[in-house]
Amino acid sequence: MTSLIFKSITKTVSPILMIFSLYLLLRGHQMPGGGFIAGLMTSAGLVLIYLAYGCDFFDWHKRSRFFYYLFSGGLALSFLTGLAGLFIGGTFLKSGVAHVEMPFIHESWEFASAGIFDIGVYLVVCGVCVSLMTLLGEEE
Amino acid sequence: MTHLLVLPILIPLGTAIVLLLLRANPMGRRIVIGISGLSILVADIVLLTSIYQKGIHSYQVGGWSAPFGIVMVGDLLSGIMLVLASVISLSALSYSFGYLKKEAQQALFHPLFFFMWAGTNGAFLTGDIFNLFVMFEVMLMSIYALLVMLGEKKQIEAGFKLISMGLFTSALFLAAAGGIYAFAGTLNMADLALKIKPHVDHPLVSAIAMMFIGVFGLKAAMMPFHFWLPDVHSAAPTPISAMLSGILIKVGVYAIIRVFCLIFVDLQGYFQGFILTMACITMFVGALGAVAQTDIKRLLAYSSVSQIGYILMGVGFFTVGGMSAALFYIISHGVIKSSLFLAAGILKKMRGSTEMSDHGDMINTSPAFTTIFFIGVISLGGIPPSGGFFMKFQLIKAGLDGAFYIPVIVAFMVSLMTLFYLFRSWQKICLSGPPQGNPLARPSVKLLIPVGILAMLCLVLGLAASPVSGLTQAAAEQLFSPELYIRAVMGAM
Repeated sequence: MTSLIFKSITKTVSPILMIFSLYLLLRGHQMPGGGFIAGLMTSAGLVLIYLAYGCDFFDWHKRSRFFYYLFSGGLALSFLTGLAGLFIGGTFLKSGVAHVEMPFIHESWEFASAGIFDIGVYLVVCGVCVSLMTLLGEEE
Repeated sequence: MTHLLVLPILIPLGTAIVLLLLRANPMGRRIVIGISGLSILVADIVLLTSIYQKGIHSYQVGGWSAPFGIVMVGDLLSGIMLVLASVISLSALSYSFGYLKKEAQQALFHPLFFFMWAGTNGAFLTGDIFNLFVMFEVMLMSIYALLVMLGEKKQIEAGFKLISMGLFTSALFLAAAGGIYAFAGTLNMADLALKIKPHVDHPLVSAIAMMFIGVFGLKAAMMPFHFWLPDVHSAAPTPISAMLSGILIKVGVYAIIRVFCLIFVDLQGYFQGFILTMACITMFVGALGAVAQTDIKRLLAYSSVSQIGYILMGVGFFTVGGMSAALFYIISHGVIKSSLFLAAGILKKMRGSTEMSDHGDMINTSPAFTTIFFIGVISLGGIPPSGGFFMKFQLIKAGLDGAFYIPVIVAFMVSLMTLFYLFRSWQKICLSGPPQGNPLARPSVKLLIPVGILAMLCLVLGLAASPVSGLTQAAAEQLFSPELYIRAVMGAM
């Protein structure tokens, strides 16, 4: 799988995938997008790197513990957002909205606490995808 | 608004996450499991008493009101199922510490177990068809992983069967939910009940109802769909077998009850003959399979199929008495069957096999085990003073009251078969001469205690049958006045 063509394409495609996935993550609350799809897209970028450059590029296997804590932490983040809704908003998963004035561009950005939930989902999806990949790619 | 209703989902979910994060700390994990396991039991009992005193509870997740948002609804049926689930889960959990030796296994097992518990509780509490689907998936995903976790060949095979069955069921469930959404424009069960009522003669409605019977019948191992159960329940690690037979197949029965006592109320008469026929065949086929088994876990698994037939028979009467008897049956069968499965796990721990011919002479090796197993056998066989006697007695009385003579006759015949295969297995394992091979070690006390507690509960259910059946009676009456449920969800209409 380590042809020059594949490597060069990966070099351009995977950064675009990752930046676009962040865009999807942040707009996901009101428009198409969201944590799940963004997480899948980021992991697609990571999978491309893994396939093109192999294990050595990033030491994936030594970092499996990091990805384990990434998805557990993501799960915890989403759960805590829900709990925060219970304690502050009154019911579980209640979402709050704040309008934040953005610096320089002077536009109001709607920040919903559901966004934090989405970030948690994003971390879970990334963590699980990469863990699965390293597990399947592991030598017995 | 009370948050009590979401606690049975939130506590296991939170616990599972904490357990994932505590991977490197076995002592901390045990403390977390102990505390949260007990607090789930307490929350469930408090919830049940609160429902009993104040009527049906409902809770709007995220603050979106009823037909649009996600609702959680707790009525007596959900409350009873929750308490049953937590009793069985707690015993299976405490048993698992002695059963799974390696720390790494426990590190994986317990978070998955709590995810499964959260999914089960969610299925009992949700008031929305789609969320029922989601909760089923949460439950099934964890079961897939738990089933193949120890990596025995038999388990991988059973895992393949369960996953194929699960995927097929999910697809069918999704199609049925899609169909009902296309027809009524809502997925909220209370809202559906209102919207379906004027169109009950529409052929699509009965077609969808039939699809739901198929979906939930597959989960509950109703007769034409029972093929997956014996392999899966016998191959699973023992604490999971106890959970599967004790509570998870009842989730399917629960869903049948919920759907037919709320959404398709007017189709009860239409489907009664079908459900009763299937119940009788399920009873008979399961018992026939059990008689032929030489492996104690497979025998118990086939017996679960047969007992599901009894429960469906009680549901199929569609009378208050029948429903109450079915609920009593669900409770006592859950307790009895999980204690028997856990007892079979002790045998597996002792000799590495669950073949009955590999065991014998337990009465001298371990009188405690023999007693516990005997209590399980007389309970499932329906001999007084155990809970099993009252479960069968109430069911048959309800059948005679409703003049359903053929199902009652079948139930009697199958009871005889049940007694036969149970006593034969008890006699082989406990009374026959010592087996070939190494002398038997005593079973560990760690494993005997949870089984003993469940066996005690079997007897308590028999001695205190009247308060329990009072509770199931109230639950059944509530089920047959669906307007209470609808009012609790949709507000005054």
